[in-house]
Amino acid sequence: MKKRWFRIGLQAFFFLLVALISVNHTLIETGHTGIPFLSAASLCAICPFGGVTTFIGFITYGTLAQQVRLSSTVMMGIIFLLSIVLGPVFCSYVCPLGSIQEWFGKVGKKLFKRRYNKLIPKKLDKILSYTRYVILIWVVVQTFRSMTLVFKPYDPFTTLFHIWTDEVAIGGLIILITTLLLSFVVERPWCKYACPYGGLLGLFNKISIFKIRRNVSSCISCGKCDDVCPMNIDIANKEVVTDIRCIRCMECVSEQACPVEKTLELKIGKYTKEVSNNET
Amino acid sequence: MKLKLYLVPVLILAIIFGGIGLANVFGWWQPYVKRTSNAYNSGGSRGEGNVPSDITDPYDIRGSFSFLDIERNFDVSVEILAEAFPIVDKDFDEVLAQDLESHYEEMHLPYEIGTGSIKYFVAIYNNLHFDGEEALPDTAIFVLERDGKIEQGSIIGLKTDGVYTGVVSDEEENVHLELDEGEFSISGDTTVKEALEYGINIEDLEAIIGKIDDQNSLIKVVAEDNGFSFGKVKDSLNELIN
Repeated sequence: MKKRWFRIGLQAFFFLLVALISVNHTLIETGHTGIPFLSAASLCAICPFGGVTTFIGFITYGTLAQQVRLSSTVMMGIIFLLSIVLGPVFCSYVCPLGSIQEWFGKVGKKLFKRRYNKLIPKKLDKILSYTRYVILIWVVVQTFRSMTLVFKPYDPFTTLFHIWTDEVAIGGLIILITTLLLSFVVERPWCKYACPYGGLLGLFNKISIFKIRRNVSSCISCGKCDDVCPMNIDIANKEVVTDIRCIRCMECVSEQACPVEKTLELKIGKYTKEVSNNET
Repeated sequence: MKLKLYLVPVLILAIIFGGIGLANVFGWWQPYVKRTSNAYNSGGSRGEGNVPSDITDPYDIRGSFSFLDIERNFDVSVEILAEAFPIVDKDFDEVLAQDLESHYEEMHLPYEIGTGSIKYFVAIYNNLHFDGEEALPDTAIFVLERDGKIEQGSIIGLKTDGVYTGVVSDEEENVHLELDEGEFSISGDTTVKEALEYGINIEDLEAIIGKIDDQNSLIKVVAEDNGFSFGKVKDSLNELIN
């Protein structure tokens, strides 16, 4: 079995889980019988980003932003812990919005072949990725000031899982449709250029315990890692991938794209010379 | 030390669900509203920036809103709400608007008291525009009258001091006539008598909901007493109208 299926399986699992919880919430809210053995919590109650946006208000006033539940802050803590250990794997293995963009992208790859995800120049691509931090700061500050979820009306994630309700805001719908359409030409456009939570988790690439490391001695500089990277990171020229755009999808590692064994791995600590020599 | 790829999903699942489980043990996993009034009050007052004030229309009150959420957005304190819709077995800061429905359902009231009622109450209490009317319990009417929000006797509340048997008093019948001015349809608060007055044949009705002993009874109650789920027979009943 290809290692890729581990990730696809987990993505599908979390997508379904979130979708069913949201459907269950709607059923209960509208007075219908809910799905047995499944939480009927609102998305705001399980979304870790809700915890982030309300955190300053929480420590300042001791209260959460409207619609946010304590479980959101718990989820925030859990995802931070996960990111400290493995980096931003939440984006690549868990986030349903990331998953659906990736699934749309698979169609795009078939349509545009090698041109897919290469339309935006690398330099511009990197600059645009900082937009996420502008959005992050705006969301956190405005949420603190108003103690309401200011981002919710624009949030494509909320829109995606409320599409069957009357809670869908037109702004969120436009952003969701735009994101999905762009996914045909650009890999994960929302994650790359707009996701404030992705931006925040991206910082964990700098401090995570496990990091993607390249064994310079055994690397044949074939560039396959660069080719498969959905976030257009120049992996082939790095010893350790700490780029804030990395989502730790592991597409580049030796167990997948890299043709040389033990050359790109998720590991703790640098490659020693001894190991390097053994491999070459 | 390197990590095999198959261990990544295992670690993700372990950390996420293990974390949730642990939070549950410590009582931190609270996906539903549970806030204390002190937490709100300590932050300042409405309009100072920390209290959300984006909801101004009582229509936007949803079943998942707690009394505190309502207090936060409208000029009605949780104490007033608790007085108007007393749910004795719960702390008022834990009561959700949707809880009213199940609470009053046990009383077999002739009309449903739920989220709609609380919207209506909040609208009257704040002198806000509200299209239509919703049933209110007598406790809510008492509060509205006491606080000078409505004139004495202008709205009749549903008696909630005893357990209803499904029989509707004349007083409540009047309320219903006021409430239902639109097109006739059979719902949970329609009585047999109303259906007969509309022109439905009692034999046709009994063929669907079973034997009718009292024409003042709710159709829903008769159906359920005869072992029929009202939800399942509702469509057939409304076909009689057509």
